[in-house]
Amino acid sequence: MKSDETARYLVFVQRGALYALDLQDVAEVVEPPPTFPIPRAPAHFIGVMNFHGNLTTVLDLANLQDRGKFSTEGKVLVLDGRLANLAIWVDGVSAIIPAEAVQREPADEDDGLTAALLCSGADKIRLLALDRLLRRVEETIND
Amino acid sequence: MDMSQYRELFVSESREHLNSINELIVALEKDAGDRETMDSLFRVAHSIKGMAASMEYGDIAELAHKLEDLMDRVRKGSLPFDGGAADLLLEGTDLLGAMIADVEQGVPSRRDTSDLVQRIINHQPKQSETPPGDIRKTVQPVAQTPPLSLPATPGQKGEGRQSNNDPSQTVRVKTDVLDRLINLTGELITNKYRIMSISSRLGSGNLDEACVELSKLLRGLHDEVLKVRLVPFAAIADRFPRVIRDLAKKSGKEIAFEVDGREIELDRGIVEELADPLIHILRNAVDHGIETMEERLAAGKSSRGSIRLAARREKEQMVITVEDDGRGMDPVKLIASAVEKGIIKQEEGWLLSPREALMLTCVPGFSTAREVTDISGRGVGMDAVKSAVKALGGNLLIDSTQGRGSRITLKLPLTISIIQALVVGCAHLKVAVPVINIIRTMELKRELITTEGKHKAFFMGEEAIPLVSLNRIFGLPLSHQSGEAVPVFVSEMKGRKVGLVVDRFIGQQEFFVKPLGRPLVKLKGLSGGAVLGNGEVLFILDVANLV
Repeated sequence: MKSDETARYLVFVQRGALYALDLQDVAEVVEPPPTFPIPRAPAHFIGVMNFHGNLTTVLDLANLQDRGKFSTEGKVLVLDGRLANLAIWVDGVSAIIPAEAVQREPADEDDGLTAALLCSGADKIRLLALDRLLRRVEETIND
Repeated sequence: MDMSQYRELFVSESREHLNSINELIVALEKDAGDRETMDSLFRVAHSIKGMAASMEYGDIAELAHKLEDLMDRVRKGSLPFDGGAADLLLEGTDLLGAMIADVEQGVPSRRDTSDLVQRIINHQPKQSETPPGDIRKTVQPVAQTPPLSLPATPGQKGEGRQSNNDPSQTVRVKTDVLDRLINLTGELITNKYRIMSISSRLGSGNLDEACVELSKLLRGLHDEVLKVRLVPFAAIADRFPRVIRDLAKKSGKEIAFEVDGREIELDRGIVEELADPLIHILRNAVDHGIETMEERLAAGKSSRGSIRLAARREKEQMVITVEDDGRGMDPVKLIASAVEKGIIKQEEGWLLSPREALMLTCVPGFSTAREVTDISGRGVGMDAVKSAVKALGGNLLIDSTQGRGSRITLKLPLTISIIQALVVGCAHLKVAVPVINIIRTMELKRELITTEGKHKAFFMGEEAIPLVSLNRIFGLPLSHQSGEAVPVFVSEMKGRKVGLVVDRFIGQQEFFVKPLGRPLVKLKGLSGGAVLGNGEVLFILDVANLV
């Protein structure tokens, strides 16, 4: 079981806002890979990528949040395969920070995808609730 | 001495022995005088006792010893093999199965065997004992059936029987090693196509020759790896006589159960996934298919119902059927029930063919049973069966004649890992269609296409086959090709042949099927993905569930 002392967050930028993922949930950060179309998938699925032999769905987070379309200059965060075969295309990666460097507070507004706010000085970082993200993504399939 | 390293082997071998005991007891119930079967039964119990004793599992050894004693009394003629003895032996087998499961999980065994042991010791035949073969007596809950275990290597018929196999010629291999072997073979095949793709660009004769040789070697490797993964259908089928026996007892029905094709070999990946679906189908056959003895007699049938499970190989696929001679199903009633439950609208019901109506039984939540029973559950069975068969890349068909019985047919690929598929193009998209799901491919001449309202069709022999555009299903632009013919492959959807129009046929090749994982696994109409030689990823279609 992880403790706050050892936990670290991967901070990324999305439409000018800062977001974070628990670093343990991220397998790799990669440059935008070639993707291949998925029949009948919703528009926020950019396609599927070949990640070390695993077929991994690439998600356009901006599109899922109704905030436009992914930036071609972005980065792709591949999630740990134990969670899902999913990668998230984001605008950029900012930093990796230790858990003790931030103050964890409840989310100020409920966008449904924020688990908590990580406060570091003036910065407020939204910790992405991966379980809810995955559920939301699954709910959009076969709509 | 540290015995833990031998625990897995003990568990694996003991389960095989328990499977044999179940099989042999049910065989003895049919023919109590079969000396060879009785001897086999005695030997298997003796083996379990010896293995358990050497592993210092005293309680297992003790119970096996008592079962062995009971069998010895029967063998020596001091006790008839009657329903009571069979029940005690099966109860003992179930308890042994539970104790072995404890060993597997490293749980200290605290199971009380004393009551059963006493009953075994005190067992005497009843004066008015029901003769062997009569299955009207009570009661072994199916839930007690020990978990299914499969041999890692092709099993021998009846473990307790004399085998001609020389043990020094075989070796036990963990099943996950076999899984890794097939995965590596699959990746090698993907890379072969990659090298071939580079070779064709370079135009090097030497490299081409090497590719041809590589292809031959890989084909050989693939064949051998598949052979290693094969297990006989008996690996699961031998459990079913016991299941049917218990279910029949519980429902008070007389049922003759027959298995054909025990020796047919299937990929272990498929066999593992088939056990539960087949149990669902068999439960339905006992509970809903076969009538009560009174109903059968009133219908002019023999009081004993019949269920036949058969496996056979048909070209590149495995066909498994479960047939019963019970009451059959009425398509009209099925439609009425579906309408009443709001599953379909009345107008949709009118359009269903009898076969489509039978497939309504596979819709989630659909059940026409007058009452829910604890044998066949709450109408979730056939839905689960269909999903499992679909996940294996297979098809499920239902035939039924009222008053005469039903037949469930499962058509399955020989292997789920590496398949032959036809790549087709729709606009910018390429998808692969498993060859097992293709009835026919053709370049259909436009003048052979008939139009009725908005629907197009063509005739294949006497049969009108509706045409559906795969582009339209995928929401892609239609190609509006101007050629004389359109590429069409004929497949089956919901029990009905359909011609799927595509933009182009690209070619057939073997694919190593990769699972889609979360979240794409939920997407209907796809059964997996694959990587082409040029690194391109494409999806494998699950044609039967596209719409």
